[in-house]
Amino acid sequence: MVDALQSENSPVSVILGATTYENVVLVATKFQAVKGGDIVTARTTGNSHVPQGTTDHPKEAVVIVTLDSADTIPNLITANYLNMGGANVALSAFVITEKKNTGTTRTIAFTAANSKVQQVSSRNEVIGAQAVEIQILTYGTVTYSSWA
Amino acid sequence: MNEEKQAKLASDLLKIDGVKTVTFSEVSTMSGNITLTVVYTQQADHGKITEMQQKIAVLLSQSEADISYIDYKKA
Repeated sequence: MVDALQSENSPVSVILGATTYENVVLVATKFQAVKGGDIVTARTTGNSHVPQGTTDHPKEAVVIVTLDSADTIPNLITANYLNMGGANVALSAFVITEKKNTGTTRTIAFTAANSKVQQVSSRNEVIGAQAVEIQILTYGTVTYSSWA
Repeated sequence: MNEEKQAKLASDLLKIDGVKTVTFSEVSTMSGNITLTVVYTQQADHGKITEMQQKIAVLLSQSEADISYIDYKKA
């Protein structure tokens, strides 16, 4: 019988622009499909988001960030990352911090200029088990770090 | 990443508390795939190391420097 489940590496904070959120419920990164092969081959053509070439590098991802905070959506609106009447501006920084059960931490940095909020929860209050979910579309370099 | 941009990034990274040296190395088989090696001062309070990592990550998130990996080494 398992007494307790310990995640090997768990997200402990998410930096969206100038704000660091530590009340993280989950982070899920969904990378665009890859097919292997030449790393420098162009991935997409025209307005298509479907991979056209072959590459080892994921170039585009949807990152789902769920936070247990009712401040999240108002903060996004204030920073214009969520613009109800026009285009969302790109985040000024986008970093996820993970912690291992040994206490060490690492970061995953996404190219801020290529990261935009795509979708948010339909309401900006935390009610019971309902937390605020944000979907961010990002592409370009993803910088992982070693544990330290 | 051109040399000027790399020098500016290195200068900004070295201003972060705990960072001793930084080195950029390109993985020869992967064009534009750069590893950043950071030698850092060990701290008793791990929170300070996390803080240093986050400051470095924010700089890279904003730099568009095409760095794919940060390798941390204790001084």
